[in-house]
Amino acid sequence: MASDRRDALPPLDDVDESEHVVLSDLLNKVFDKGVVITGSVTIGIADIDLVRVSLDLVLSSAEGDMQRRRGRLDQGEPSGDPPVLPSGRAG
Amino acid sequence: MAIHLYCLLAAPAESPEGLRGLAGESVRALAAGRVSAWVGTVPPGSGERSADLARRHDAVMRAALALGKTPLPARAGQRFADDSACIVEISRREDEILEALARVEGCVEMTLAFALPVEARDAGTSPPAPVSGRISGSVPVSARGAGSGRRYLEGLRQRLEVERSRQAESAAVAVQVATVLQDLPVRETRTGTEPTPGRLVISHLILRESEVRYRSLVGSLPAAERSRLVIAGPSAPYSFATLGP
Repeated sequence: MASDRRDALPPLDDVDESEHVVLSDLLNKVFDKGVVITGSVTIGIADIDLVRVSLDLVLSSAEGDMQRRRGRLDQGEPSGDPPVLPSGRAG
Repeated sequence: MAIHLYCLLAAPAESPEGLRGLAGESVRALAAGRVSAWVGTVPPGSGERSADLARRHDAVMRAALALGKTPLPARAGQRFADDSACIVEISRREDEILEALARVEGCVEMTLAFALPVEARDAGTSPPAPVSGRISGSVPVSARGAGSGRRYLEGLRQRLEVERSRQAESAAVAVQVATVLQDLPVRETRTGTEPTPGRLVISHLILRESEVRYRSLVGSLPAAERSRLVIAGPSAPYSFATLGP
């Protein structure tokens, strides 16, 4: 049974995977751990407030997804995806 | 210009000679009572969250470790208007900082990252597959013909099963790690499947001189566990740098 279990594991002997894990660990530690003495931490992306950037990404992604779904429905494709909100073309 | 805080040390701590910070600035020691802070004066636009910033911030911790000191790492991104503002904040929490420094003194952090089974990691991010059969042994269904509500609930149930599977796997691995390491770690923190889905991350605070023995003991884990393990460290004790009890 042990061999079955190992067959299901990702190829961690891959060097890139190790580097990826180490970098992920470093990012987690530097940005999410460590002492906070000011009560708040401010880090931005390209001088833009991080919260604003995150919100913009979510809005953009949602809108793009809605457009793709509308396009599929217009072409008569059945969708097995989770339900979408009614579009203006419904009915 | 702003003051970027890298780490805290017990005073007195002299300025690190020739050490450059994330913006290429000289890292210097700032005295704040019984605490010394390693800081740098950086341009306002130098705080972009990136792998490069993380590496440069961490390079300062490594420099401190190389000098034989155990720094209390500051979370990256803490900026102050000037030295005085930084000193005021540190002085305000001096007692807590000194306690935290005492907890990590003479120690480093080692991290073990175990990959969890692929099917568990993938299933959590894939759309729910069509399911036929019974739910709770009572209602025969065919998800293909089922309503969206049923598919939604099936998806939730599948994710829950995956999460339970990961938790059980994580617990089993943690027991094996604890068995081989016994009382070597001074402290331990464990990250579950979040925020790193599909991966169990265990961080240990160990004495500096215990690193070789630590690696040797980890090497005695069963082959199945070693094959999916990545060891990181020694690093500054980020995971143990918290203020308060």
